[in-house]
Amino acid sequence: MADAARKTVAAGSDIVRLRSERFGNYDVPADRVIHLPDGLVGFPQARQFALLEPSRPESPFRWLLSLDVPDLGFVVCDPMLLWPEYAADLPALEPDVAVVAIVTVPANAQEMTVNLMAPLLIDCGSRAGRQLVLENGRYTTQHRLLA
Amino acid sequence: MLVLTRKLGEVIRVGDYVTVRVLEVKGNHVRLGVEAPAEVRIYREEIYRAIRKQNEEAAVSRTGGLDEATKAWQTQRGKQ
Repeated sequence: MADAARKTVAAGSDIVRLRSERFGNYDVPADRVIHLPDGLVGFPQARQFALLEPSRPESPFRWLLSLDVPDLGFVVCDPMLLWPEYAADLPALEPDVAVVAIVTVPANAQEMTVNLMAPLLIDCGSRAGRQLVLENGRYTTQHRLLA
Repeated sequence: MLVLTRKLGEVIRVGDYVTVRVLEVKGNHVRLGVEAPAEVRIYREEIYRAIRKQNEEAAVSRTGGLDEATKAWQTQRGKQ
């Protein structure tokens, strides 16, 4: 099964091989693999992800690809690059916590939206993360990213 | 569905670690106090559904999603 070939750790190395018909093949450094113990909301079975490098230098976008569920992937962004004031609305973060937000890219990418209500917080040390829910009323699951 | 009647201040226990207490009843509003271990995620149902729906929509983005998002963003940046 393609699934079984998807995640193989080459012996003696710190590379995780990701083989996906949809997204292509990646050799992911093990320190780019993150673990979401609870999965994502609606995808409890997806717990291991590869957070790849940004699509281009300075780009706020990157892939978050599932290592558990075949061909499950998300475009994510650094919300602070797009909304600098966003950090102030997050709960007090430990120093080494990264924040990424999930982007929904429709057929017309100009209309893409970002889910600022439920960002992912990732502890860079343990590489464990979770999807947080902000219930302060300021953010929705669909913020237009481009004017 | 299990249906239970509780008075103000009374508690329902779910398993060994989760309790739900009736804190206040005012008209058609009920305030509940939930105590649960940190790893138990607790949501208002409508918020849970909204986040699940958005995650599902984001997940079905096409393979080209990353490139398309990057291009659209760069195009707009170039205009500014």
